[in-house]
Amino acid sequence: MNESTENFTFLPKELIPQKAKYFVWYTGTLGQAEWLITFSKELRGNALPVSCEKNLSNAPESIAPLLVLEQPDLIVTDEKYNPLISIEITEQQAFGTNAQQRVARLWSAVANKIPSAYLLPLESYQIEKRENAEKIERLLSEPDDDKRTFLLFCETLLNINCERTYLNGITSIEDLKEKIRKGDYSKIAGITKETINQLQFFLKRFVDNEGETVHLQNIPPEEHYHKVGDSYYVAYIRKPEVTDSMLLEWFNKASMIIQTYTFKLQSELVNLFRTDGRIHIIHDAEHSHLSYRNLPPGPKQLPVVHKFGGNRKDEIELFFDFVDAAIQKDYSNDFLRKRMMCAGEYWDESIIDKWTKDPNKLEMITSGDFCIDKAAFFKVFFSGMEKYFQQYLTSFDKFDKVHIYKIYNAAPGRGLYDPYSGNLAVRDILFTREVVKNDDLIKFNRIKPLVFLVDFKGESAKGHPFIFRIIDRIYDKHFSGDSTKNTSVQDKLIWLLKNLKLNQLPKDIRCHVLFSDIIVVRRHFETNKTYEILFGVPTLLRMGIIKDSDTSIKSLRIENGNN
Amino acid sequence: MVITEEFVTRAAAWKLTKSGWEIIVVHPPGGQGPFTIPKPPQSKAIERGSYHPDIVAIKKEKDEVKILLVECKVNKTELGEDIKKFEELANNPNSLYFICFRCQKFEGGPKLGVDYDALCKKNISELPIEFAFAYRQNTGILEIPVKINHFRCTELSFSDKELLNKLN
Repeated sequence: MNESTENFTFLPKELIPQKAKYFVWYTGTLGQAEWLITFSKELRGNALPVSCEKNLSNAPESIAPLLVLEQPDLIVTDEKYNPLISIEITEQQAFGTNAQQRVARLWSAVANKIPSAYLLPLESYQIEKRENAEKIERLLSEPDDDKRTFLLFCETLLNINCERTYLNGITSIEDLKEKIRKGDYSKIAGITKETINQLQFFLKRFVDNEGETVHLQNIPPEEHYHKVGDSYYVAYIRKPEVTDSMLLEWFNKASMIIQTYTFKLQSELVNLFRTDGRIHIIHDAEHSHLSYRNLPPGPKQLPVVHKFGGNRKDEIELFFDFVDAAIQKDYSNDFLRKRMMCAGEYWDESIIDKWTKDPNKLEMITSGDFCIDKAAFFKVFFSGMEKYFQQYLTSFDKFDKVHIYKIYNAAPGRGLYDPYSGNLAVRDILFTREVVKNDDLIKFNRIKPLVFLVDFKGESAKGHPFIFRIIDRIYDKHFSGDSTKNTSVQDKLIWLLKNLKLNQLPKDIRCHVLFSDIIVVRRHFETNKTYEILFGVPTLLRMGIIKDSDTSIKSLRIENGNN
Repeated sequence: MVITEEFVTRAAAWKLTKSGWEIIVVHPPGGQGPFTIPKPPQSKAIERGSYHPDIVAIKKEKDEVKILLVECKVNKTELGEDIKKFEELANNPNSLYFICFRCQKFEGGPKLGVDYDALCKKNISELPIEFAFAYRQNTGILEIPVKINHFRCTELSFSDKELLNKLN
């Protein structure tokens, strides 16, 4: 490898092959590619990192479909550029939907039956500002040391009213733990019949650290609250709740088609304040080229997390075992992922009830998922316009229900790219399909149509360009025919889908038109509402208006791939 | 040869290590910063909800533990916005205390750290914080301040040979 070429590498000479058997295409950092090569038995000494240009100008045709929606951090190919595995690494602790927002890049791999791995911190420490200063001050200034420790310990658990619990006669940590273990919530203020299970779940995993999976160590009571400047901050454990449980179930379902696995990035209490617990390579004497690059640890540097099935390997070792197996096209081992991703290990099955909201509250709740009767949906959104949309609505005849993903926006400058691209990819697999082995995702065989409902209020009602204005703009840019002809926005979208690759559509609408059967934009003005209604790829494919051979759909699929 | 900011960041961290600094975090571009400082109210220089320095390091000198924040760019002339970021941080007591809070020593925590409770009692100008800017040599002219609101500020510049050093 000549260091004067564009693809410079920090890899030591002994790891640089004369002739590469593999390439690691990176869209994130060179460090991530070199980290992968260094620790993979298959790649070490056999692979070179290659920077993938943001405009995909140097991406071979064979991997372009894996990058067409969004760009995963790493793609490993063989010497002929056939993709072998797609990898995403998220260091950031789960917050809102930030884990889901990257799912579109994994969707492309699943659609092409290419294995993929997602390294992320499934559980993490979080430091956050708190507004209830009066209460925190009161707890921190409690003069009785034992009482203060007890009160702060209670605060580290879920939703316990610590002061009332103390007044109820539970005054020691051991007494409280015993009551929780027995399920006796009568004197634990703030806990009910419905929430005692969650408290037991938390105690068992994070305080008692029981079971075959090593979870995070609970925050010590004295480190829970802190005054910083003129504000108070809380340190707590963030564990998978609604959005992360959806994510894990998405991986479960996707794995029915091809191995699509999450691996857990560990956190440690020792790093609580420095990095919210996250562990990185700082200086690695053995692999000095990986030092100072914010990379995850290498294999065998962290404790074993999943001890079930007699496992003695840490998560990073298992990740690299999976990478090596995928490179060898050996798909026989699940690397403990099925149990790890299923309900029971990191998330409680009861959370599923929270994934969708009461359909009767569609108009009362500003954002969320709703499964509602198709007839009721049509009545609200298409009343009086059935004739105009008849051709399209007929294609919904076979469905009884629709899945609505509703969002709200009041900031016209805030594009609808992140997190909605990934969130829609999550909903595509989680709520609208019967995922089966060998499923072809690009066919969009629906059991329920997906509706993306966008409410624009305030300044956004007037100023947000999503979605008609964006389509008008992109159509005007690419269409060279008679633009004075009165073409509907729907027909403009159809033209774009027939003639452009998906990555030529701006990211603000790309996944939205791909995953949504219908996009409904409502602009709420003071005295009235206006609507923009558009039928997306699943509907247009179902109706035969666009076809597999059209440019946008072809751009999703690896030619002669595994489909 | 394309030299990216990642090259400057790692070269700077390596140089600081050799000078006795303990690197706490390195945040190369494109990565996600683990050492976050809440954005000062109405900050225009910090584009995100929080601020992520490229490098944070600490060092014990005599009886004092010092904290160093470094911003890196390939071209020196691109550091103007980073200077503004540090100026905003240095003029915001909450941000400065938060930096110390993140570098604190605690039971079960790292060996080296600041005594946060003691620092809270000090005047802002006495906080043991320093700033630095790192860049590739011969990439333009820009005046780097020697102090930002009482706090020492230094420059780290690197030749191409240093930037391509494999550290082994």
